[in-house]
Amino acid sequence: MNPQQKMLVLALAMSGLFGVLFVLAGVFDAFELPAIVGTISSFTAFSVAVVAIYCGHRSSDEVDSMVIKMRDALMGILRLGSATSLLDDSEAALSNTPSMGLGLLRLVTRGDVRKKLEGDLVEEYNEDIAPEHSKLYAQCWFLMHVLLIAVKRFAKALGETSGLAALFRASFGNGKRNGDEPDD
Amino acid sequence: MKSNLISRDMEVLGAVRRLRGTGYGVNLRKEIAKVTGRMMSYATLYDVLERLEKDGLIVGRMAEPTPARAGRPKQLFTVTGVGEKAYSTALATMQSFAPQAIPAGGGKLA
Repeated sequence: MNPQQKMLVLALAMSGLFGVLFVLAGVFDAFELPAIVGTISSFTAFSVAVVAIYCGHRSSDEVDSMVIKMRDALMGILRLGSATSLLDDSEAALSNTPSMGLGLLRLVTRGDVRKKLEGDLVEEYNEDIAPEHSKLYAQCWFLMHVLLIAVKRFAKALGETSGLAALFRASFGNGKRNGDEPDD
Repeated sequence: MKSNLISRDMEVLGAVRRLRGTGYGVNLRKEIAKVTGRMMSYATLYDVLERLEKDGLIVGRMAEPTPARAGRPKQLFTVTGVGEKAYSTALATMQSFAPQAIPAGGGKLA
C-alpha cells in the first residue's frame, strides 16, 4: 500500500468515525460533548481527505513543499497567542491563556466580535477555570469553546439555503435557522 | 428525546432581563446556569444574542476595556421595550396552558 492509499484509508476511517459520532449526537440530543467530538473528527476527516486527494495528484516534491507550508502555518497559529513580548500591560492577562486556542479564535473571528469573545473567554479562563481545575482541563475548556465558535461561524457562513448548513444546524444547533419565527 | 421545552432564546432573554443592563457573556452564562442547571457554550450564547439583537429584542453597547479581560471591552446587553413585550407575551402564553387551580393534595387533574 503506497502512502496515498494509506491516507485514503485513514480518511475513510475518520469519515466513518465522524458518521457514528454524528448519529450519536442526534441520538443523545445533547449539544456540548457530542458536538465537540463530532467537530474534531469531522475537521480531521475532511482535512485528511483533502490532503489524500491532493497528494494523489501531485509529485512528491510538491507534496513535501505543501507539508512544509502547512507546518509553518500551524506553527504560526501556535505562536500567535504566546507572543507575550508583543503584549502591552493591558494584555498581560493573555499571557496565561492557551496560545493555540487564542490563535484559532483570532483566525475565525474579526473586529468587535473577536474583542468581546476574547475578553469573555480570557476573563472566565483566568478567574474561574484555571484556578479551579487542572491545566489540561482548562486548556481543553478554552479550546472547546473556540472550536464551537468556529463551527457556528462556519455553519452561518455557509448560508441559509445551503443543505450543508441545514445538516450542521440539525447536528450542532437548536434546529432553527437564524431569524426563524417561533413555531405556531 | 428533547427534555428541555424552554427555548434558548427565552433563557437568554430572561437572563438579560434579570441582569438589568449589566449582562455580558460571562455573567449571562452564569445566570443561565444558575437557573437552568446547565452551562451554555459561548458559541450558542452569542448566536442567540446576535439573533435577539437583530430582531430588536435586546440592544448591546460596548463598555470600557478592563485589565482582567486583557484590555478587551465587554458588550453589555439590555432588553428593549419590544423584548419586554415579547417576553411577557411568551410567559402569558405558557401560563394560559397551566391548570386554573391545583386540587388540594395534588389530586388528579381533569
